[in-house]
Amino acid sequence: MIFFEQHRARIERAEAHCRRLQAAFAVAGGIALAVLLGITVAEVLWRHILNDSLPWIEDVSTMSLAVVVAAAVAWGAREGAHVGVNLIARFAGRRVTRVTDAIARILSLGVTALAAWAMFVHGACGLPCGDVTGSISIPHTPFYYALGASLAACCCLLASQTLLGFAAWNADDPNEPVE
Amino acid sequence: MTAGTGIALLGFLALLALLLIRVPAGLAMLIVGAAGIAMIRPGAVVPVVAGEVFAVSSRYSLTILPLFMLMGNLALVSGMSQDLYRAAHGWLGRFRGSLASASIVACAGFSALSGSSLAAALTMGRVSLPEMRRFRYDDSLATGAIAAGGTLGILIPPSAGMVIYGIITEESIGRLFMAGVIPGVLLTLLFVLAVWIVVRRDPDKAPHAAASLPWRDRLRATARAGWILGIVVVTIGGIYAGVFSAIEAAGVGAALALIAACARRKLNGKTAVEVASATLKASGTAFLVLFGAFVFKVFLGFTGIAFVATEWVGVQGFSGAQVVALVLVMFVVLGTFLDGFAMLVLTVPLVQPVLESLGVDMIWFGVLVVIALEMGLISPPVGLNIFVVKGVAPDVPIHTMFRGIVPFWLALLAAMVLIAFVPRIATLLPDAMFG
Repeated sequence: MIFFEQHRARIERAEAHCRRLQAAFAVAGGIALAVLLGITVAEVLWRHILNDSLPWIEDVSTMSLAVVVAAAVAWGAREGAHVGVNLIARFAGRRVTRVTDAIARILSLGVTALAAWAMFVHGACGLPCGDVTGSISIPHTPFYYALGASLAACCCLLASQTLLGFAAWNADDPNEPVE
Repeated sequence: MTAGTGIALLGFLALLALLLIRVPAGLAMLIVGAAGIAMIRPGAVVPVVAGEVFAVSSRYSLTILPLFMLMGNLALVSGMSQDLYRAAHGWLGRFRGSLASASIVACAGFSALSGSSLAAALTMGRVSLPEMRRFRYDDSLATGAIAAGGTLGILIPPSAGMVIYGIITEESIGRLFMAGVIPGVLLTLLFVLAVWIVVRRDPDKAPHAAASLPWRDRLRATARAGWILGIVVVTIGGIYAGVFSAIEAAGVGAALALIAACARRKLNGKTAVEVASATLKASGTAFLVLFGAFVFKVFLGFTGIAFVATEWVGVQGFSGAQVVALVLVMFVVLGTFLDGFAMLVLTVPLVQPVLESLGVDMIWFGVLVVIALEMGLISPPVGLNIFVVKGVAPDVPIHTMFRGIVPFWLALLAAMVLIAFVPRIATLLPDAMFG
């Protein structure tokens, strides 16, 4: 752990870079949210005022949702929004939680990396796998990649938080979950 | 016991262990689901994980979640919650315990704009707690009323809990929303009744009634809350009248909330960023849980445990009512330490086949489940709503808050029992609308 303590400043810088990456996702998510809102309202107005339907609406809505979700998952990780159960802190001290937190982060890192990798591998198949939307054939590939990139960004943050946890082994962990 | 059942039980134990060491609920289910699938069909891990994550992220019915969250957050920044509280207070002001009752009624109104119980508790806590303290309300009654009122957020439509339940069980979200209306009103009345009983037993808990407002002021306060009432009527009424679907209602409601926020000059660069950030945060929370839930659901499907459980229940000769009672007790117990969303996605895939085989109405059951989730939100030791109110009233000891919540917890129990014995309370509106 001494090694990580010595390099704490560098790890903190790396974590700050990861957080900036997540902020970029949030900007994209905000725009996608506005698009989602706009087309949902447009559909209602189109149907009730012009008595017509927009067949491409569902395709554009679902793909906008994919961007919103990609951004939301990344932003949620940065903001500590992903819900967990904080029971252990009630009966175990820091000496225990620093070990369990390290295990939890490593496992989370592993599964998030697996999911990110799966999105890139599966998404790369694209058209040959028939991965397009139903009405106007929007290819799924870019949206698989967006979700993969979001999960990769979560990995980046989890990795830096794991290392920061090691660097703060004998002190307060800045990323320890609180009530 | 079959090998699949053994793996499934091992999976549940692993999941509890992961939750205990503070792995986020969504990731815990993803870890167990992926590892379980790897044990049963190793080649299926990557396609299942990628397929389920993408399917959840691009499911049209789920567009409702960020849109309703956006509507709630816009309502939050627009200051409409204060108007709602003043209107409720205007009508209830002359009664003893009126501020607590007004908080509950305002929470119910705000719940019709926001699917989140935490948002309802936080918003109304900020608005009504200072008022109740000014009139020397007992801390336990004041904080208990807000925490309990907040739980109405996941029962009264739009409800994030109902959306998640609807997605998992593949029930109509519109039907579920309608099913929550009468139980939501009933529960609001039961909460107000709980306040009345508490104050009647111990008048010192609400020593001062506020001055009664003249009719003109009451109507003026109600008119000021017109925005919020209008949005509720358009969205919920629109679904009921069949003018638009629940998804479209979410979009229209969010657009109206946006117009209201702009009209009231509450939306600027800073608040817009706040709204987007809060919406993305809440959406991220829900979708990560859904990623994990759907991978976990596939894992459970591979193990065949739902089939084994259905067969076992059939052999034992349990009736639908007995299984529902058992499941609800389990939910109430789990709710004391498990997050509501996590509990929902973790258990419903397992119990749904059993309940359906016994002919249980899944819409009615959904309402009961949501009430069980509400009980979890105010039950010690986790009780998320209590901690939200604690954030607004940091000087009130947590045990005082938990003491104050008891009458409201009993009201929830009463509502659950009533709806369990009179299912029409939940099914009347959806049946009237959808047949």
